Amino acid sequence: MTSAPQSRNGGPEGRGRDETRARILIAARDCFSRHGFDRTTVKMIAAECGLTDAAIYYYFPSKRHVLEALWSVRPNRGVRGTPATEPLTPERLKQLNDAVIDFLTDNHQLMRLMIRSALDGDEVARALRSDNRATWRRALYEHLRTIATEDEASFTTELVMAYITGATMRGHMETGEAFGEIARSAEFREELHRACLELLDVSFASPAV
Amino acid sequence: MVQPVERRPNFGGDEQTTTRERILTAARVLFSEHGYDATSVRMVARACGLTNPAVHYHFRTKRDLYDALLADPLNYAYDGKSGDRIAIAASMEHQFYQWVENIDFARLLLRQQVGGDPQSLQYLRDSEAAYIDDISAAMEAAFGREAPRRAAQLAFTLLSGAFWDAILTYGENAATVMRDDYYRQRIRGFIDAAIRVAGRNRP
Repeated sequence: MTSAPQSRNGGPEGRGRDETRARILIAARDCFSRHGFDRTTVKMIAAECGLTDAAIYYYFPSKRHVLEALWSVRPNRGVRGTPATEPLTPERLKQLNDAVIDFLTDNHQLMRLMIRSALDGDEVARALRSDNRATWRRALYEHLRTIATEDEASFTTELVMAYITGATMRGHMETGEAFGEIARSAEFREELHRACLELLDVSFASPAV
Repeated sequence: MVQPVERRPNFGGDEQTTTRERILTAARVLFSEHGYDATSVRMVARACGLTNPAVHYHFRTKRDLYDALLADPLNYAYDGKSGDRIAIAASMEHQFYQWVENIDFARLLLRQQVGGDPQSLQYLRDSEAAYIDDISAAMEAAFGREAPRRAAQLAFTLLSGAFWDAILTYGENAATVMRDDYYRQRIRGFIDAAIRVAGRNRP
């Protein structure tokens, strides 16, 4: 992450400029996520991506501008919205849960930053987090609706989301930077899915033969 | 304005408040409102009508004061002796809402925990262990030995997830949203789901 192809302190136009900007954003995301916005300095971001402070200021007028630019970075692969055509099976629910865990692990620095910023009262972070959850909620609800009434599907959606939120936020707290790796493991996902099945009170469709 | 006495959470005992407790109560409120860094020992002293040296007599540093707060978990021992399903559910709901009533403190803790502060993480682990001990003992009395610890563990993760999400989603309005009937019904549903696990036979 620190080894950059070359250091560009000037004002190159086009591709090189975009690449440097992207590198700064990645370094900033990691620093903010690790130390929080207040405790991160521009110097730390510069050190993380092997640039000078001055180079950072060439691209962004202030630390606050770096944070705001981060919010417009598209996360790695969104929560996939697959259509709910078949009645839901436990296997399909596991796929849905795994897709969410993929999203949270691929973007774990950004997710932690979003949580920290939302706690600091950052409205943009809070809105982005709510958007992500709305996509997740919609996908889960559509699938649960194939085997449950509207009320049941809506309650069950909230239950699955609350459980996964509790388990993954706890994972962030307990494992810090290592969370991305841990949540990628089959054990973590199996356990999460098993817990959801234990808590759910719905009649799944039988798996297709 | 700071009103430490009115906002004093229920720690169980109603015996006469000692100076030490008064300081802790004021500190809890001030840390919750201003965060750790922006709170000074002087502010704590002023809020409970003491001098700086008086506070220092009980707590040598601000960090000691903070550590003492974390060593003094909100007391939510299960008090239902009847050990039936309804009593357990009511007790679990009560505990959840005790945290809602102390949401500023919970928010402070959450911020520290997400930042990886070891002391506040230990506090979370201790709270979890105490919760699981209490709830599983009650569940075992009611349902026998099927899966009470598992059920209590699931309840803790589920309810903390719901609580943290409300803080993150609703910000300053989180407590108001959670006190709403609609939300309360959902929490009851979550609690029932966890209790059902305790009463169920699983291979």
